[in-house]
Amino acid sequence: MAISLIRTVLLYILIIFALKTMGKRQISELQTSELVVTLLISNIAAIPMQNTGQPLISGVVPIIVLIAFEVIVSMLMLKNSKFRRLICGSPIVVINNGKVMQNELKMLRMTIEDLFEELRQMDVFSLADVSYAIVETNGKLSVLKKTDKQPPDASSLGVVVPDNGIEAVVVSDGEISDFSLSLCGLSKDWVDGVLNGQNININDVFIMTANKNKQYNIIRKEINK
Amino acid sequence: MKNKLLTVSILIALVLGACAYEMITIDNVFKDSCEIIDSMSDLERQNKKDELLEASDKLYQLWGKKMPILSMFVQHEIVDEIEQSIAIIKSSVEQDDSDTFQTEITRAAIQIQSLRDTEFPYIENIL
Repeated sequence: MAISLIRTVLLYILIIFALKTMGKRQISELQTSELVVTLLISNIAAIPMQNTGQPLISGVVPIIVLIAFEVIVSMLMLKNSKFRRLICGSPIVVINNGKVMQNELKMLRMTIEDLFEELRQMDVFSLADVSYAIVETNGKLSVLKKTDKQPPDASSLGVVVPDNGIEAVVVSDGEISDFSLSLCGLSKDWVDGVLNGQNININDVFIMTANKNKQYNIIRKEINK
Repeated sequence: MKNKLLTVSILIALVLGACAYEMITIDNVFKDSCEIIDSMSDLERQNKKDELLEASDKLYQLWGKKMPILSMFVQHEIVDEIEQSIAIIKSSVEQDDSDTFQTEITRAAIQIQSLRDTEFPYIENIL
């Protein structure tokens, strides 16, 4: 039991390190090779965790080799577009200028029902609304609606919208975030000034958000009775 | 990206080092054990009891010393089986049990040979 416990802790640390080395991506955004490597790592790690007769190193070595190759392959893909196409493939246009490309769908082994399902998930309920649809290398569908079906934006309406920048959480549970402050171009002194002006102790702040135009919102901590 | 590449290079170097260390260790243990086992067979044939006892002690100690290292790389069951055979060889020499000695010395030699054969990256093992 103790061996399993220690091995699990060690493998957990190794898996966290492995995933961190592979980079920050959601499962749905993973390329095929990354998904395969992630699944393999989890499977390989489980063997020495459960079977204490198996040396730990027999699980550690394949994990390290998989991470190393994943990093090397990603680096080669960055440097060489041909290699990237070889590993990841190319995006495939399935709707071109409103026309469904049947051969491409067949090649992707994607039925028209699958295409409609994907479109519906993107709030597109009529094929007539679509100008282009592209299946990306990670399997996701990107859709460009026809111009008359696209929602108007501020520039097309001729409206000038003030740029407030990003609203960031500058104080969370009484703790100031230096990263968020730098993101908004604000300082600790400004936060202190605002809180002093409102007679609020920083420890009483649940969340304080702010943007680069110094617009802020404070939520105080609830007092437990 | 450069940092990641450096990290994985270090990791690959460590893994290759571990693989090389494993092969060297197994090869050394194989050679030393086979040498002792061969000499033990000769000594038994020549009926040199004291020297045979000394050789069986040497083999037992060699495995006692190398077993923790081998267990890091090889399935524990395989190493345990060899250690068990060596312990039986030692007791059979002490008890002057020639039949058990012959059986176990042959078994140990096969097990050690098999350990080397299965752990080395030969094409048949890779495939």
